[in-house]
Amino acid sequence: MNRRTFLGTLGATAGSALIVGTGAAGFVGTERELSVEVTDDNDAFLGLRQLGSGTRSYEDGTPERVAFSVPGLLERIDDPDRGLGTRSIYEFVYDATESTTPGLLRITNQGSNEAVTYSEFETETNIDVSLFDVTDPDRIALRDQPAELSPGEAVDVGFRIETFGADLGAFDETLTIVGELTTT
Amino acid sequence: MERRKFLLGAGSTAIGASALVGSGAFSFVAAERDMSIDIVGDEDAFLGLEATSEYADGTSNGQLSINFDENAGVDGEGLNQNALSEFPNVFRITNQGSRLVRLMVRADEYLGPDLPEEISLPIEAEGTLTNGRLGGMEDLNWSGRGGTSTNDAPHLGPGEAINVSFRFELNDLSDPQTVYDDIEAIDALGITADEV
Repeated sequence: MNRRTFLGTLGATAGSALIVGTGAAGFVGTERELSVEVTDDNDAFLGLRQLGSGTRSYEDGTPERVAFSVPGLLERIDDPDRGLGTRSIYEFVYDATESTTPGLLRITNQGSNEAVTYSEFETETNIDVSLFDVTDPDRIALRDQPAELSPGEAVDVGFRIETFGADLGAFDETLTIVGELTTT
Repeated sequence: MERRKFLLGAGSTAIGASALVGSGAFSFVAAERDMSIDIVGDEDAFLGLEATSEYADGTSNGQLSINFDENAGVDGEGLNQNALSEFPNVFRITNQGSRLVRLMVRADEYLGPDLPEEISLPIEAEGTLTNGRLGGMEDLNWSGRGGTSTNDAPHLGPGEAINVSFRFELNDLSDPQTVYDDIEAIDALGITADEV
């Protein structure tokens, strides 16, 4: 499903709920039990786990969420001036200092149905970020070719960062990782 | 609705919903996660680029530029036609990342939106490893040009650097002016460092 369409549908649903709440019956108030648990990224239905020890990917907060930093947190301490060059394409298959295990992030389908996963990235800074399967020799972006995951399956991904048209500076961006059901 | 029935219905709904959630049947998850990115000048970038001659400078928004025209820091304003011109140690490439990389400097490879997809020119970049290895051998010169096998490309370990020189071969061409126009068309070099 197209994400924009999905969000549009969500908006419409919310609108419907509002109509129910102000229904013609004057006032109807009903409560239903809803059990929701927000858990660590590691344990979520769309499981997210940082890989490597170089802190380009890491987990932080309560509950723990994955986050990303380029340069890595430790690299920033070692050399605060380091960073990406402009007008460049950088691909990160390994975390900093990592030499054996490829991948910066493991995405696991911890649901009960077939699903695909991909990433989305929107910014006004001209930076572009995409994810790719580190076992794919062509490193095709998951947003162009989503990874298919059966329940329990995982894909280890690296990052591609493009800096064409971007200014020098420090940027706080948001990467969206999507898991979408393909079977019911 | 009769209250007893209503409660029964509510209970069923709660159990049903809970069971559904517990089964892990998500249909769509979009998780937004923070990402910090620093973009710096070429001298400080993971792939460090540093001007080491009057034919290069790094003042354009932190980007290295290579100038074999009136923008060079010399009196001359361009290449001689029908001549072989060599410029030693024009700029330095340093691996400031954490892994061994294979390096390519190419003028005919598409790398981004500013380059046409195909450029073929008699331009050659060559370098001498200052503290590196070349296919396991040290202290060898490397000469690469567009289309060269990637196996011939030098490898740079973390902290290692290569000084890049340029050779323009304009001495064996029937129509030098045409080539000159092509050289004017170059507005970028593709510098590629692949992890090995």
